[in-house]
Amino acid sequence: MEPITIYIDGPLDALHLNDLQENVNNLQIQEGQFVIIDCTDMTYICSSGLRIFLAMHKDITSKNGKLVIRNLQPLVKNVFDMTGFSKIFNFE
Amino acid sequence: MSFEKKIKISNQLSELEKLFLFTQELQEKLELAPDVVFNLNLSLEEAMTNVILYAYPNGTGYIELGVNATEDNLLFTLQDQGIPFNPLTEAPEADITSPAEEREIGGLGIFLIRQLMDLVEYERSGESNILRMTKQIK
Repeated sequence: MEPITIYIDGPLDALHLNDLQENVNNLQIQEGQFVIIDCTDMTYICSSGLRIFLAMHKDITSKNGKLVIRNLQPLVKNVFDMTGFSKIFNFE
Repeated sequence: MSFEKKIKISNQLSELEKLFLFTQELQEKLELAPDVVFNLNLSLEEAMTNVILYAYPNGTGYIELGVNATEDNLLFTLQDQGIPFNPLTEAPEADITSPAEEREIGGLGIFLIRQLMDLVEYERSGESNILRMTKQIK
């Protein structure tokens, strides 16, 4: 099974959440699916964005898959650190 | 130097675009560092989102955000005429330690505001909720 890569470009703020949510809703997460969220060009995240990440993590791990967050930028990583989300996710 | 500006938005998430233009103008006028602007965007978005989603359960309402900037401080005043709500005492406590499966995500917005601002105060004045947030920039 091919890994799925989700690429997020720009700010993940309240104005852009729906785009990501729609894409996530359309994913067919299968048993054992490996998913990468590429955050190289994600410039910002709000708490509702974190909520989408958390829901994905729960969905994927409940199907014995793995979610990896790739290349978080320092200011965004700081939001994960402050909120304790760094302890939940796998980063690379 | 000092700088003042106020914006008024209606209670729709799409109106947050005006917040980001507001902080962009602040950045340009006050030559704020990128991390300061990032954290202002985050804390102000969280504060305004809470008001947009919950202050006016019965329909349209307005939200005003003002800034009073001096060389050392940014004082933000967020005001609405919605249902009385003190986020400092009434929001659920943020869960930042539980494993993913058990984690409740409520209260994260106000948690971030407290983390990112230096002082946060709430006042109910007449028909208004007023949230004052101060950020030191020097």
